[in-house]
Amino acid sequence: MMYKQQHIDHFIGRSQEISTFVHWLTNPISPWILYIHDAAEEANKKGGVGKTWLLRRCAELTRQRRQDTTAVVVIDFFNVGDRDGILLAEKIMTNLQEIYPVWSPSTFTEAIQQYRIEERQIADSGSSESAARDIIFAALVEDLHLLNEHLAKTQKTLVVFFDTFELIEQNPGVAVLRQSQTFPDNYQLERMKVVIAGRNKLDWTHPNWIGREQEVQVMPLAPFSLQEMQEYVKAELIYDFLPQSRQAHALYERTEGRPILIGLAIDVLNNRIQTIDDLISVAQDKFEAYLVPQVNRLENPLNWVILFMAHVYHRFNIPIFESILQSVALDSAIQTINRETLLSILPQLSFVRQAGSSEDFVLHDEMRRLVTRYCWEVQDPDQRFRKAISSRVIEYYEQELTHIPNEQQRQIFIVETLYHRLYVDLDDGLPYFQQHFYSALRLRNTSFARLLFQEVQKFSSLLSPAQLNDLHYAEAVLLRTEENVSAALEILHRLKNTADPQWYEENQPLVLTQEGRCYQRQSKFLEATNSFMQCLEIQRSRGDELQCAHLLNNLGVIFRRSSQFATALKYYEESIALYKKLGRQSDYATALNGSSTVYRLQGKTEEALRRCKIAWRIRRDLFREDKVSEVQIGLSLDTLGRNYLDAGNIINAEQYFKEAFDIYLRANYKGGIATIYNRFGLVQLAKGELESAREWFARAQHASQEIDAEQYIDSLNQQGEICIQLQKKKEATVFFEQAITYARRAIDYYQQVENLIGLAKALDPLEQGERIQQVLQEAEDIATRESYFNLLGQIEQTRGEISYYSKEYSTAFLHFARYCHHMAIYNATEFKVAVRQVVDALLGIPTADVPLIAQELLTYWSTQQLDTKYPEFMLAFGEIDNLMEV
Amino acid sequence: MDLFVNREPELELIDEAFNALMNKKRLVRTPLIGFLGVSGIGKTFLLRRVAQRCQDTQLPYIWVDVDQATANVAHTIITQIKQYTQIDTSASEQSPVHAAQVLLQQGPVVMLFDSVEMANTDQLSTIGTLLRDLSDDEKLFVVMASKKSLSFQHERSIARKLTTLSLKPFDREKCELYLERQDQPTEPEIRNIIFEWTRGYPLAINVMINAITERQLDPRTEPDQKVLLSLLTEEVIHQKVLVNIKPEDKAYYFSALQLFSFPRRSNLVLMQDLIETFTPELKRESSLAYFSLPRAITEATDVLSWNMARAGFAVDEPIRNIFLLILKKEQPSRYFAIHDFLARTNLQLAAEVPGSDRVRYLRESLYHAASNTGSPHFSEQLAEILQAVLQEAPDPFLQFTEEFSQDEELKEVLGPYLATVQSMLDTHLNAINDHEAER
Repeated sequence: MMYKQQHIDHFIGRSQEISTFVHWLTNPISPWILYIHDAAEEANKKGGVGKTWLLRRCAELTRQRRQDTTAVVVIDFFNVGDRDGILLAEKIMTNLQEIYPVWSPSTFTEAIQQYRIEERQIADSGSSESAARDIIFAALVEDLHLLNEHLAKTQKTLVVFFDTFELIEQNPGVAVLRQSQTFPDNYQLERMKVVIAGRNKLDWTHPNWIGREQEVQVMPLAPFSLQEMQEYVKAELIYDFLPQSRQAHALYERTEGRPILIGLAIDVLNNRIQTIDDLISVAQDKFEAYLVPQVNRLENPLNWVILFMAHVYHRFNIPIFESILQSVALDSAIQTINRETLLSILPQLSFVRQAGSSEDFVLHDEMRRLVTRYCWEVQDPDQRFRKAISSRVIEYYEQELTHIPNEQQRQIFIVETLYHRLYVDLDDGLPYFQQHFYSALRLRNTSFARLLFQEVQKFSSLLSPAQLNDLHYAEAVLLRTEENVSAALEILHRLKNTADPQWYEENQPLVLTQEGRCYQRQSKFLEATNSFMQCLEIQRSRGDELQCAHLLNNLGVIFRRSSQFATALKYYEESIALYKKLGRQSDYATALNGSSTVYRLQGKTEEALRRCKIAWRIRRDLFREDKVSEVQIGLSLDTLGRNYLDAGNIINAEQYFKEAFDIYLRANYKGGIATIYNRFGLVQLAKGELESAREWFARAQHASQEIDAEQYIDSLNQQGEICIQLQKKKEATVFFEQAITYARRAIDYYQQVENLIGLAKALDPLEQGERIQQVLQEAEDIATRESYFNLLGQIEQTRGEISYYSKEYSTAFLHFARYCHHMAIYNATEFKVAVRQVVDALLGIPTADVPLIAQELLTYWSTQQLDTKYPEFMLAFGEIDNLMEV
Repeated sequence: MDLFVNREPELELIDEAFNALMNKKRLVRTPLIGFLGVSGIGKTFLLRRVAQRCQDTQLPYIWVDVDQATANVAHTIITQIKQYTQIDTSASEQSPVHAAQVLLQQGPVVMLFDSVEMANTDQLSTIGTLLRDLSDDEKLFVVMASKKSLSFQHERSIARKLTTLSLKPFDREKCELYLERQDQPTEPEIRNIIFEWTRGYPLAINVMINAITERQLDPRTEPDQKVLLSLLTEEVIHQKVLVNIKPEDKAYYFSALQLFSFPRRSNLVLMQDLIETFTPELKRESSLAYFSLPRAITEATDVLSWNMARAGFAVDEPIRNIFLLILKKEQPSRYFAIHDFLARTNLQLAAEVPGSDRVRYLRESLYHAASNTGSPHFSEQLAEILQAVLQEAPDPFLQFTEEFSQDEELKEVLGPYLATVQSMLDTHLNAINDHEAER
């Protein structure tokens, strides 16, 4: 039989690599990741060096030799399903359960089942795919906690083998459960090791790998040595082949030691298609092109299968084969391959991979490239046959899609269908892509969206400039949804600068909206405002009222977050009016709720409560009509609670938070639950119960970990603040430093600055004065760049307090003056608070110093020409100066 | 065809084997030989030659024509062995291996298998087992003839010992020699026609010689040409190539093979386009339906296969020439139309594909254009193709010139235009070399 596979038990060569692997596996202090990649630098020399075989051999060896101490799981990213974090986790759990029957991932299984039930309604639930993944992760961690103990007791290690890493190397995040997790996911297992095989070297500048050199042992894999090739040839070739002969050297030179080419050469020789002398008479640069087309010998039906597999690509199984064969006229004289024969032959082919335990097969990716290049392109230069095959495959998938109950499987089939639709007709495939891609993004199902995107990318060389721009735009939206906003912005800026004018004119609002949302995510309020404003102008000129309403609402959010309340309210009001006019009740309620927060922050409790209650009422009605999820009601209740809390009505606040909590519990909305824990902490703070508050914030921290970065950082910040109040400053620094790390990772400048200020306050001015200045300087740099006036004010307040306690009053009050200055720009309420606090501080210093300092304050204010615009400051300190002259 | 010409390499192997068999101190270096080639190329004659040598040297030989022994190969072998030795045991009745072993105890034995391509699975298994179990016997010499390649991959001991030789048609010189050695020598002009028509294919030569000598046909006259063509069609195509095809399917395969004889290298796309353009009645219902066509033709006729050197499907050269001859003589306008179509199609494909594939398409375009020099568009078409060739980047152009220099068939069909084409290529090549030297 042609293309015979070498048996894993008779593995040839690679003794050095296997020895390295065994040492890595058994050495307790070796890094937990072993990364195998092609040693070759040139792209065209990569692939087909035997990584898969080595990986399988290592897995097999681990199973055989360390059965008592290791559990083995093999994953191949060639399979679309393995590129999905949830399916991947499921696969690993299934394998673990087989290995440890006494352990059962019951919570995880339950979460998955729940997810399957709800996944089609995720959009309506107010939740998101990423939130759903976080829920599954939390369940998984709970189950694995038990397994961890079991592994520790039995001294067992889980070893996961990942193949074809190059397919996800740009976005390894698709294969992890939590967006904040780096690849590979360790699922918080303590005894886990990972072997990864990929075509390329690891990119240490990729966010996934930055600073992780110590976690990875790298093993470059070269092609076979001459000796290894000779061993292989000796084992497989049916003729005598003299090692060290001229022929052996010539064959080695031509195959460059690549096992895939050596295997094909052996097939040619064994089948007497060519003699060894004929074969080595072919020049090296033409060898590959000469050797591979033997697959075109269609008189051998197995070659049909290889050709079909090279094109069908993602998976190949008997039903697909039979579906294609239905279109192939089979003359009665022809005995084609039957089902059983095929199933027995395919796993024996050296370049075929079997997808797990299923009856799906895929061609080795390097073989696929070779067959496509040297067989299909010769056989089918205008692609008509491949298009015909694709059409059959589409029919097969469409048929399958009608009865697949599993959403994940459905998504995989959609991804695979997309490839074939694009292949048959780009104009048919691209709308199909847009439909599923943007739907996935609406559900925040970034894994699915990424898989769809990867398929379209394969056709990028065939796209028109406009289609290519659409694709770049889609990538930017995807990256933003994946929280990689810097990369998203880079693409959006490139589009702005290089897209053709006609495309950009048509799509400018989309680009600007995405740009604004990226800036908003980075808390770059000025840039976000600028983008949204430009977009608003365009949408107004186009008369698109709905888009105008969304943009106005976004502007409201930005101005609210930057505490420019009057402006925020103006935009909220405009958006509310438009939503009302358009009958968009749910959006209307959201905008009302947003404006309610502004009123609350302004101290206008009644207005805030009114708006919040109206939104609450609308949402309840919509919920009864099954138009929104109950979570929306929870969000209103949370806002109500915040309003009551700020108004000092702790009882009502607590009541509403509890109601919201019940809803979030019912909906298993983990992010919401963590938020309410933080709210309960605030309630306790308001009651003066610091320890109790601290407990709630600790609970919020636990609940929000890997689920909601904002709430997580907030919980750390609050615990730090409580520690300061409890005079546990060292403890406080730990919280703030942790919060700063998370804020940096989440690219949340605002929270980063907040916690830098907290850290400065927690550090001891006597011992760590220099560090305090550094920390505050870093905070000031960011706050200045991002125009966070309230935080700039707080920075100056902190600096002032440090000098104040050192009795350096002149310096202290210069900082206090700047504090008031920033707060004046920020908003009137905070400005008043600032003036009051500085007045109190002034009255706390020795009486003899007061007039001088008061004068210095007045001079600062006048010099800065603030006296006319903000006379309250002049009035306050002028009065003190006057009254203290007694 | 009792006259042997142009078979020196094959005869040398046989002679060497016989010398070794007769000499107890020597081992047969090629104990298992397989002769491959189309019907009528001379395989059976080679086997007969071996049989004759056996008779001359009084070596026992077993002759198995698989096509004739379809019922029981084993029985055929045992029956023949019995002629040389006294075996009458029940084991020998059932086992040709045992019977052969008994015979080999007496001395060297030669086994000849003809028409091995006709063997079914059981017969192949019987032959395989026999050869495997006797493969260590140094006194056995086996020669097989087959239209299909022989691999015996499952029987490694056989595969290691098997030497295969593909039999080619005669070249002009050997054809002349062959014709000269006939009982009734023919005039040089007629000999030339015979070679032009048959391109050295022994079966076709014999058909023509017989017709010329026995029926007194003159290939220089149009009426006799028609008869000769009809005889070639019948005796080469129908009685050999299409012999195993049901009568109702013969026309289909005839048309398809004739069409596929035009391209020297073909692919599925060309096959489909040729059928749909020139024999729409054979059109299949979809592109995919053509996928099984090469296999169907191969299964039925053994004359179409994937040619590695040409990177395409090709009809075996001797048969291809006969098909082209028939059409060129009988329907010249159709013949030239097909060449014209292929010249254009290959040129178009050359414009669509990159790299070495494009160079191949250009060469084939040139071949088909040159096969149609009578076309009113010939000059224009030739200029267009050459322009495309000359526009190639240096590397593909060098590939083209290298392949062109080795393509005797193309050079032959270019005829009077060869000098012009060669000159253009040389000039361009020199310019490239000069440019390289300057750099």
